[in-house]
Amino acid sequence: MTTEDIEKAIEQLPPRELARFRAWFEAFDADQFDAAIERDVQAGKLDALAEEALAAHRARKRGLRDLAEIGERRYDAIKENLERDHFGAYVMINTDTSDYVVAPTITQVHTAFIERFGENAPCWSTRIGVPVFATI
Amino acid sequence: LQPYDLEGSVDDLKRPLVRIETPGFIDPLLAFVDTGFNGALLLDERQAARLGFSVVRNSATPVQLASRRKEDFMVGRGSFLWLGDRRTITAYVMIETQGERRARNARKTEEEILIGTDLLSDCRLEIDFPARKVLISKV
Repeated sequence: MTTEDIEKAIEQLPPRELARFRAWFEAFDADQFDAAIERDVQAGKLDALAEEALAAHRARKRGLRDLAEIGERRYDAIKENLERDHFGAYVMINTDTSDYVVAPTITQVHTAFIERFGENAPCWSTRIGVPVFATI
Repeated sequence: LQPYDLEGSVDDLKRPLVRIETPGFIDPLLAFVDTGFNGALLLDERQAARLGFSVVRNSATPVQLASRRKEDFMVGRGSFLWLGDRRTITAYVMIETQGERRARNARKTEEEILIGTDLLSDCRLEIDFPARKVLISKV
């Protein structure tokens, strides 16, 4: 069987079978990729790349933590008033300017933040007075 | 049942869940209903990208996890089809390396997300634990 035969067979698949094939091929392709990566890892070919990726990830995490620390400091300065007036609502703080918006949900506070400061302004948010919990 | 009612189940760990069909994923997303989570959605970065959410590069927001550890998440914004309505949502986005993601998903066969009370605020959520049934319907 040639590649052209396979292509023709795929073209004739009904949508549901095509979806199944796509899912199978994605898994198959991922396995092949993983096996190739594993071989390269064993041969030490990816050590430098892995170190580079980890360094980039660490830098990103550090950036996230730095932004969070600035946000926490800004929040500490205003939290007494916020907790008195808006307990349970959400605050989103512009970490460059210390200006902030308050709204009942994370989606609403983010919408208000974008309207006021634009999409690219650095922001830190929290629920006022109580943490955001997630069972993961 | 109404057209957009969402039926689900309760798993062996007594967690209510529903399966959500959404563009970007071949198989339905396995969405755990977390009534203690007051956001709308909690996703990882890869899921956010596949859903077409844009993650805000300069954003940080703390989330208290079940382990009691506080973790910094980012926020991502996008359009999400929920009970027949497309709505704009800000999601909590987990930041992790591919290795961390693989380790977290090592025993999972489906893509898992968390849905919280912000998404459920205009819905009725019924959980029948003995029958292991879940129903989310529009109010």
